[in-house]
Order: sequence, then structure tokens, then C-alpha cells
Amino acid sequence: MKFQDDNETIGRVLSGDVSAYASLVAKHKNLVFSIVLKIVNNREDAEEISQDIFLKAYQSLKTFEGKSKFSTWLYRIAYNAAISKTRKKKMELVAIEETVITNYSTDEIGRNMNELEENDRQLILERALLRLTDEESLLITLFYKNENSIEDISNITGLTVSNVKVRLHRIRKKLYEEMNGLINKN
Amino acid sequence: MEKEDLLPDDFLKDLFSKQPWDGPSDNFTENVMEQILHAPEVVPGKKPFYLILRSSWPYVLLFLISLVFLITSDLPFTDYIPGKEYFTKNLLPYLGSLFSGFKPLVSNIKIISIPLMVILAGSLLVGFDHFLFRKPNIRHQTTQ
Repeated sequence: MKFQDDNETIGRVLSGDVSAYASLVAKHKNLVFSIVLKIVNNREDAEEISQDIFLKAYQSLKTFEGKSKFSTWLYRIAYNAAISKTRKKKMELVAIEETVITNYSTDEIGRNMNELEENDRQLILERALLRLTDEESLLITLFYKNENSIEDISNITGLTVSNVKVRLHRIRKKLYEEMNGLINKN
Repeated sequence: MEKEDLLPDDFLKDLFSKQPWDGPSDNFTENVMEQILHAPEVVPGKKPFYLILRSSWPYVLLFLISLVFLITSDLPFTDYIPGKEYFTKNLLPYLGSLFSGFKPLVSNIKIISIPLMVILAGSLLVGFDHFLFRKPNIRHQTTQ
């Protein structure tokens, strides 16, 4: 399905074409749902909260100034709504300095992974992601799957740019460690 | 190697791109649109009182009050403030005479008593409370 430019659609919605909002919902529902699901860990709750988020976003659409991308604005609403529903604490800043825990080659793990069948690779990724915390899984999904920039992730989560970098760096390492462990087990 | 250099990772990007999305139910979009068409439209009420601190006029007012205070004070360095002489010799006596005209009006009121002051203060507090904690107006959408 091909979607229109978000700003164009927003213009149509604001000029009275309410039905145009359906294409914004269809375009962003998967990631909004994914963000919420990773935080609330319950599909039914995630569905309900996601619907509320789109409703809230529609009602606040007039306040969207277009300074950031619509998707970033929407994902920030989603993140904050999910956090407040679960009464979870927002991600806290982490120390920039860290010690290297393990010494391994990501290239080597990548090569080992590439020797596996596609289904097995996906299964290993899925299992490795389950071993990450909800926050870690969310950040790495935003960066590698949804291809959000570090600045976007900073806007969505409220973390500083440098903290997003540090976290992503750590999570990537942890993900490789988990995948390596799962490959060696099989 | 810099941490930033480690982040771009084509292998992970490729791996993630082949992962299916954890999507909501099939009729999600229809449900949202249904809710939108039946939900009341929120019309924002007046700006909350505390938000005026974010605007510039309280600071301008504070600056002007500080300026008047400095000009009318006897502090030695205030002699160098431009326009002080005009303010103290011309404008201030004029303002003084203007306000002195209102003085008989106030001094002629004989009925000001403690109960009246209590009633006035109470009314002010109720008005202030109403101003701070009023609820936003909600207008129901009539067109679809």
C-alpha cells in the first residue's frame, strides 16, 4: 500500500476531510502498536492504548507545528501514553563511560549467523530480543527496524542524543552476545 | 573505534527488516475512525494562570517596576540613569497630584469595617480559586 506524504494528509484532515486521517492511522499503526506493546507487554491493552493514542493525536493535530516529523511527534505521544498507563519510569540517563564486558567480533557472529537458514536467523533474533529488557528492545527496534535517526529516538524517549548513542551501542553489543550464545547452543 | 562508527550495521538492519511487524487487529483503523467520529472535540479553555510565566510580559513588568524603584531611590549610582531628572522633577509630581485627587474619594468612605474586609478578601479568594481551577470547555461534534 502506498501512502501519501504525512504533511499533505494532515493538511487535508485540518481542512475538514476527517476520513483522510485513516491513511495516517494505517501507515503508523504497526509501529505505534509495537512501541506500546513493548512497554505494556499485553496485546489487548496495547490495542486499546494505541487506539487512544490515535484519538488523542487527532484531537491535538492542530497543535502539531511541523517542527519535527509527524511520525516522531506521534511516537512520542505513544511512548508517553504507554509509560503513563503502566506507571513505568521513563528511561533514565546512563553513564557515558562504561567498561568493556566482553571481547568478541561482531563480524564473526554475523558470518556465523549468515551460515544459517533465514528462518533460523529470524528465530535467533526473536529469541535474542526476548532476552533484552523492554526498553532495550524498543530502542533497537526503533533504530534498526524502523530506521529512526538517533535524534528522532532522542525526541521520542526524551533521552539526550549522547545517551541514545551509548544505549544503542550497549544494546547492540548485548544483542550480538545473546545471538552468539544462541548460535553456540544450537 | 568510536561508538558512533559502531552503530551503522547493515547486517542487523537486514535482519530486522525481514522481521514481521507486531501489528494490531485487522479492524484497528476502522475502530479508530469510529471513535474519532463519535468522540467529543476538545476545545482548549483559557490559558492556565501559571503559563503566563512563559510569556514575556511579566518580565517586562518586573523590569519596569525595578526601573521605577531605582529611579525613585536615593542610591548613588542611579544618578546616571538617563531621564531620571525629568522623571523626578516633572512626571512624578504630576502623577502625585493626579492620585491626590482620588484621595478624598477613599477617605470619605466611613463604612469600611473588619467584616467588610473579610467579605472582600473571601470573595477575592473564591474568584482566584475559580480562575485557577476552572475546567476546560468540551464541545460536542455535530458534523461528521
